Amino acid sequence: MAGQRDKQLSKKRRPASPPKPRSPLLTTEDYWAVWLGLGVIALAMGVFWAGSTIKPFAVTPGSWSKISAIGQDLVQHLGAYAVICLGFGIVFSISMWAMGRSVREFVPGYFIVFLGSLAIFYLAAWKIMQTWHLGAPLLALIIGMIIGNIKKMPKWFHTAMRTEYYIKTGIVLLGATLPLTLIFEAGGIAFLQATIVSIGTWMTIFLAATRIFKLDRRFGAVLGTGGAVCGVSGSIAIGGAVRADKDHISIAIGVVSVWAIVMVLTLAIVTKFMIPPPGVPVTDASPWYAITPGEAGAWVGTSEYADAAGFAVVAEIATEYGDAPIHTFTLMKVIGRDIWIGIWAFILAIISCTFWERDKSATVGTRVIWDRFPKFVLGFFGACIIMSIIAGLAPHDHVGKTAVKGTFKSKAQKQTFDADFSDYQVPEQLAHKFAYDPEALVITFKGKMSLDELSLLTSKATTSDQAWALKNLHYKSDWFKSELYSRAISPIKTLRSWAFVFCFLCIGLSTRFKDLLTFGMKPFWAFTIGVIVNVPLGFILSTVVFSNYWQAIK
Amino acid sequence: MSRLCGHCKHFDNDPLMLEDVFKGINILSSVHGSSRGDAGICFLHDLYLLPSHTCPDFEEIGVVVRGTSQARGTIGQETS
Repeated sequence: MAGQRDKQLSKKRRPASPPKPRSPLLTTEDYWAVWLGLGVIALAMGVFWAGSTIKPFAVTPGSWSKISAIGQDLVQHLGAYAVICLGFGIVFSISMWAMGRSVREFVPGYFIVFLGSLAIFYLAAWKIMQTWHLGAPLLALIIGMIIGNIKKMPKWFHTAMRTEYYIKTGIVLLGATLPLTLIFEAGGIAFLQATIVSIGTWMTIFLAATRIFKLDRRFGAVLGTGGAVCGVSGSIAIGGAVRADKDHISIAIGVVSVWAIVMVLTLAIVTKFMIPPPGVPVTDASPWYAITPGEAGAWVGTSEYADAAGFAVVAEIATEYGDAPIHTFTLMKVIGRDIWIGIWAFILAIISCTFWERDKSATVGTRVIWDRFPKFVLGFFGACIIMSIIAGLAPHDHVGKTAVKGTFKSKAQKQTFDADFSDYQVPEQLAHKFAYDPEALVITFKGKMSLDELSLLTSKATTSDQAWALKNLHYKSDWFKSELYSRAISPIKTLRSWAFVFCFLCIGLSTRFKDLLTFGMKPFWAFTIGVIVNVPLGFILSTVVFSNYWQAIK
Repeated sequence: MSRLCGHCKHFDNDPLMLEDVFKGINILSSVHGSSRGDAGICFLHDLYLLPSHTCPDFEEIGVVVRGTSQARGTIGQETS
């Protein structure tokens, strides 16, 4: 083997002078995801504070039923799609160069990924797909997998299939949409649930691997961490720390990937079946298996092995049910499980050095805790803190304003109105806040309107148009919702969905079962026993033990 | 110079090489992420390990340059 290596190395060009040491700040995907994600957020906020919005450039195709609508959408949004493609593409290309990859291979591959994602968005926006409850995440995964298993992707294209990079970028952008208070409120529960499940799953897989199937203990640790902490990334983080056999790493990658893909499809179908239709709450009268979207996200966060795979499930649920499953999944998986991988690596390295190694001189320092820490999480927290601070800066003298003729839009309702306020009797208590400008045909409200104030104003409405206009004014009086969310956070969410679909398409295209199913049955069964323990344990913890916490998250 | 695996002729942590050896690693992970960091392969013992590890079979050569495809070739630079 060493001889083969030397032959391979002799073919490589060896630099005449020492290459300059390069900072991980520029040579790891984690940090590049942070720079790109925070850059997008800074751009969105800069434009927002300048009085405008990036919304016209952050778009996905709208719902359609006739094929001609695609042409119209393309004409309308071609410039925006070009900006998204080039904006992401330029940063991705620079980072690929910094990481030592071929930009010449990346650029055409990235264009294919982008165009493929655009096609997936169009397909998901088709009314028929919406009737079948198929969203862009699941379509990207399934179509990618069909193509990838029929036709092997060329080697140059692999440079652009950067699943982890795309999902990490999406997670940093996700930080801008997740309130910091949510992390404080539910972070402790997420950590507790994750600890119970992680230790339980790890011990199960490790004991099954070493006691039942007599596998090497380091191999058992690598498999166990793949199932208990963060999938393939967990396996390779632990593999390096415990000096695992390189063939065991290959096997772990195959076993964990196959189970992760199986769980994506299973959890997506099962959770969609278990969650009642949008707008229908889970009550005592619901079927015994009914769960809320928040519980589903927590369950997926407990029982899916890889971030990218888990996000495919919850992003799919979110296309119909809003962001609650994404929020609970993120709390459970990223905060509850991922960020502790360095601690796992350190502890297992100590155990390996002390008990498993023949060579007792092998040591590992505490630095491994930081080295293995998923740095993109820093960007996620940074985005979360930045947006929470900005949300707290809501101007107290904000005046909500709406025309008396317009459209009220919410997730559940859309209603046009054409109201006449000339004879409207303003309640005395709100006369200092509410005003009607008959010349400009607008109504205004000083400060944030409470629901009680809305009820009071609506009680004086004499027409349904007035009531809808007042409802719209209620929305406009909320600076966070009508200004910050609408003009800055919402477009960031749209760009996040692009990064996610890039990722899900790449998972599908790069998953070739023929290549993955090369492992023996012993590690497969050891891992499967862990799955048998993990899935029901995660379900019980998410939907029974900590159900109240996950249900409350919106 | 220390006798760390990262300075050994049998150690290689080139990301491109690792993608070749670990087929499928890019499906749900990456050779450019923190989870891999600067870990690589010892081709003498066929182990996957960190450049900060040590071993009695150390043979001097090589360099660890994190995250680049020019991972080997010079002596005495450890950036891990």
